[in-house]
Amino acid sequence: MASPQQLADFLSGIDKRAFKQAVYAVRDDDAALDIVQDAMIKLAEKYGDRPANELPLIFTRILQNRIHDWFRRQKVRNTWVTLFSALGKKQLENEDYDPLEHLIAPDESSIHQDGAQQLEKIQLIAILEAEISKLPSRQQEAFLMRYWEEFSITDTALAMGCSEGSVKTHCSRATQALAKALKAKGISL
Amino acid sequence: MNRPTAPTQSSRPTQSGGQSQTAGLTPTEEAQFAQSAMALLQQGAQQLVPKIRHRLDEARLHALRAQKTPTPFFWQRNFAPAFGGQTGSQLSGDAKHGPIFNMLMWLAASAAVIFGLMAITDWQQESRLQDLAVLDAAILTDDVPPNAYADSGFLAFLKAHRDLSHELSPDSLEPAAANAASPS
Repeated sequence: MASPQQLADFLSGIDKRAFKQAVYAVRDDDAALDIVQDAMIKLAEKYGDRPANELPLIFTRILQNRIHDWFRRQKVRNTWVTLFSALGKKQLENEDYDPLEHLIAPDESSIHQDGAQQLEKIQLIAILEAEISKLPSRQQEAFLMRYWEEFSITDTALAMGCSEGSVKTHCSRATQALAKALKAKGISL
Repeated sequence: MNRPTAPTQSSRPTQSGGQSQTAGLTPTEEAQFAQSAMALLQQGAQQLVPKIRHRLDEARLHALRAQKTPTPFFWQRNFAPAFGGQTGSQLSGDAKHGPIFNMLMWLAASAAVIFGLMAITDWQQESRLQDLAVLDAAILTDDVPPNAYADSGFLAFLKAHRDLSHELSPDSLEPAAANAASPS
């Protein structure tokens, strides 16, 4: 059984990656945070007594299931929103809206550190993350599990519920697609 | 494993045709590209804004508070003081085994106790039948009147000398039987 310390270490090591994976999938920070929090709580509540070496695979499955659930809910919600917006087309424009009040200031801590190289890297990361977000969901899952989580092909196949051959195909296609997209922007890693 | 169906592709961006996306990378180049990409993603993950980091920390603490802990069995809760705070798996040194193993161990112990009780009951019943058999044999073979066997003292005498009963002649039993049969 994973001790509380082992679980804490595992969660602290995976939380940022999990958040990023969720963001790549849902493209919404708040939704991604909710997804990660739900996944963490579910892991602790339901599988907190499992051995520590089983936690990564279980957590990844929970996270992917939560992401899928989010898409399902969004689909249902969009259906109702479309229906009601078609019924009432009256859109009130808020004249008091001031865009300056809603702009998010950049992180103060990194402004004075930004050199040209750091800026270039930040832009590169942003482009790469955007391209990963554009990948089909299965390719995205396989690519991130295989290379970021460093799961074996067998574990990735287990987590994705598909064959090992499918995992290899998804990973290869994802890598090729990313390389092509970056190359089109004049970037090579 | 059960897996929910993947979200419909209409809700996610898609790219058509796997082969048309290829950038002509060899497997080695693919691995190198993936490694470089992951290094960048890892750096990106470390540059989260403080607000998100704070929320992730809160989520982690919330999850840790909700961690599932194995529920001790009733005997572990109730009998722990008797073992100086150690119970069940701790005493037997099998803490690495799960609750199922503990349950099986306790079931095996319970079954052993039940079978032991059944064996003792069976043995007692068999012993009682043997006593009755001795009594019946004595009634059938002896000249002692059957009324004598209604006396508890005579029965005790027979039990005490069961192995010698065949050596006892009817003559030796006569006085005892007569005493037992006569109303005092």
